[in-house]
Formats: sequence, C-alpha cells, structure tokens
Amino acid sequence: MIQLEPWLLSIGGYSLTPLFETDERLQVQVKMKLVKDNPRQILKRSRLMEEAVINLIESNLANPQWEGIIYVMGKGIPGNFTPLYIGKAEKKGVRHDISVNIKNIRKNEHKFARWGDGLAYHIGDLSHVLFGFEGYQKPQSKYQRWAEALFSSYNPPILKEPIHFYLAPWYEGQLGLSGLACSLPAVEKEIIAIASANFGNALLNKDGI
Amino acid sequence: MTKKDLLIRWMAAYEQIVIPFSTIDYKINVLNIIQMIAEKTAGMSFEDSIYILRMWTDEGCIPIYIGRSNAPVTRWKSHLTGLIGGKKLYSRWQRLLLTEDGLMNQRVDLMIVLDSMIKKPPIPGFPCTIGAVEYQLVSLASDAYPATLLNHEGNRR
Repeated sequence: MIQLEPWLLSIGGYSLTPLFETDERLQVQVKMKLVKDNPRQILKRSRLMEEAVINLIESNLANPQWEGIIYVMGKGIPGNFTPLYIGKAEKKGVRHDISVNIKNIRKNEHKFARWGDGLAYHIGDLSHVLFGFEGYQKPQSKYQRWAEALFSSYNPPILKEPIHFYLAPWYEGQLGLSGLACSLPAVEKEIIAIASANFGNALLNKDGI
Repeated sequence: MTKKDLLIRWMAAYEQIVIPFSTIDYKINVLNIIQMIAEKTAGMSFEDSIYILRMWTDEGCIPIYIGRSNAPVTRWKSHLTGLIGGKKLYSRWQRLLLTEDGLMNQRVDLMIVLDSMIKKPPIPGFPCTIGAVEYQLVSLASDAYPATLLNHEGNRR
C-alpha cells in the first residue's frame, strides 16, 4: 500500500506548522472582527502558518510552472501523521489569471488561500460554528463535523490535540503518488484517494466531487 | 501506461451495466433512462456504486462525469432534472450535451459499477475501496480529458 506521509515529506518546499495560535492548554486565541456592525469572534491562524502561506505564494507567483498549493490539516506526531482535511488553492482563478483566493495574500485575510476569516472560507466557517455569530447563511454542517473533530470545548475554543498544517507548492509536471505527472486538481484527488482508504474514519473530506 | 490507458482499461473491465441515453437529435427520455437504471440494478447486491457518464468521440468513449451513490435511480432523477434545467453547475452539462432546442447533441451512455463488482483499482497500487476508486477516476479523467470533464471539483481552472 502506498504510504502518504513519506510522500508528503518528499515534496520540495513543504512546511509543517501549527494551524492555530494556541496557549499551553491548547486554547485557541481569537480575534474580534466587526462585520456590518455585528461583532464576530474569529479563530486565530498561527503566525507560523500565515508566514508559511505568504512566503510560499509570494515566492512562486511569478513562476509560470507553479500551479498552486496543496494543504493538509492533520494531527499526530511525525511518523504517525493523520490527515484530517486535504485541499488545494490554485494559482489561476475561475475568472482571473490570479485567483482571488491568493491575490494580495499578505493582506487577504478574508480568503487567505481558502483559510480566510470570511464566511465560505475554512477559518470563518469554523468560527461560525463555534461562536454562532450572525451571518448571511447558517453555520454549515461540514464545519460542524470539523468542530466536533477538532475541539473539546467551543467557547472557549480548546483543541482536543495539536492540529498541524502541511503546505507544499505544486508545479507543472510534478509526479503524484501514482508516479505519473499530475496537475494540481489531479494530485489532490490522488492524495484523498490514498487518505480515504488509510484514514477513512478521521478524514473530513466527504463532499461530492 | 498513460492516464487515458488506465481509464480505458478500468472501464473495459466493468461494463456489465451500461445504459445508452437517447439518440442524437432526439429529446432526452428521462423516464426511459430511469427505468433502465432501475431494471439493470434490480435484484443486484450492492451497498454503493460508482457511475460514469460517458461520451462517444473520435477518441473513443470518454468519461465526462464521475460520481458515487448508494441510490443511483434517485441520484440520476436529480442529475437528469438538473441537465434539462441547466441551472448553476448543470449549465456546463447542458451546453455540452443538449442543443438549444433540448435535443441530444452527443452520443452518451451511463456506466454503473456496483461496489460488489470492484476487484481492482484504476491506478495500480492504489486502494480498492469505493471512495478511493471514485477519487482515482476523477484524478485520471481530470488530466486525461480536462476539456470535457464535468466534475466541478476535479476540474482545473
């Protein structure tokens, strides 16, 4: 059986950081945001994670071979890494040459390579479930599953265990787990295929594709 | 072996249930397609299934949508209603498969592979669970046929 962790660690330019800014009791720090006069509590991404995302994107943006980023939210110690959610953020957008998800990444807190503070982005939607603030839509069931998997307490937000953020660049022609050249969308599906069989109960990728 | 070869080889091994859609230039017959899905899966032992919507082209029979369902009849009632309505994600389906008058403009069939049938993965060395097989097929089709794949999440921008 193909093993995911050694392959992830073999990709050049990867980083592994804490996803959230926490204290020693694993309580996640929160920040306040005012949206249409309504205050929102938002979970804080770790400074290390933000630096890794910004550095990777800014250093690759001008590279025509760069297709975007792969990310894996996971838990566990090295050698026993359990993926919880696998995704990608592409350089090219549906309508723009540079996707709005990664454009001006240093100041793009709302979208932040899909890990932004806004609703319809991972941190915003997860915060919505935890803190139940007003929004244009109800908290999403997908992120209720995330909240149950990650947190022992919602308010204050306390993690069950440390949550890591794996990040890697993906370039045109790079080889996937199959040993075949993969585009970014194709390698994302290869990673989920392997993870769904090896870590099916923990994996939070459940949506239709 | 190329990604196209892997797809062709895997599909050829599991063509036990194939439902042809309506003939080109004729209106799509939803009731007939649903009835055929129900008949061909009736009495079969399965808990889940992979389905592949395929289009006949000069390159042969190529996958254009890949999905998974434990109730293919219900799922395809929904897909076909979406195709005819052409709203949101189904607008691409409609543009590819129907004329402006709602007639079929491609030769299309639907292949259904029951979980009880699957004995080998599309990509050698990969897992054979139904979820893993679905993701492998989307991954392969995403690179082999990027222009025609209708899966929203599997498609490149």
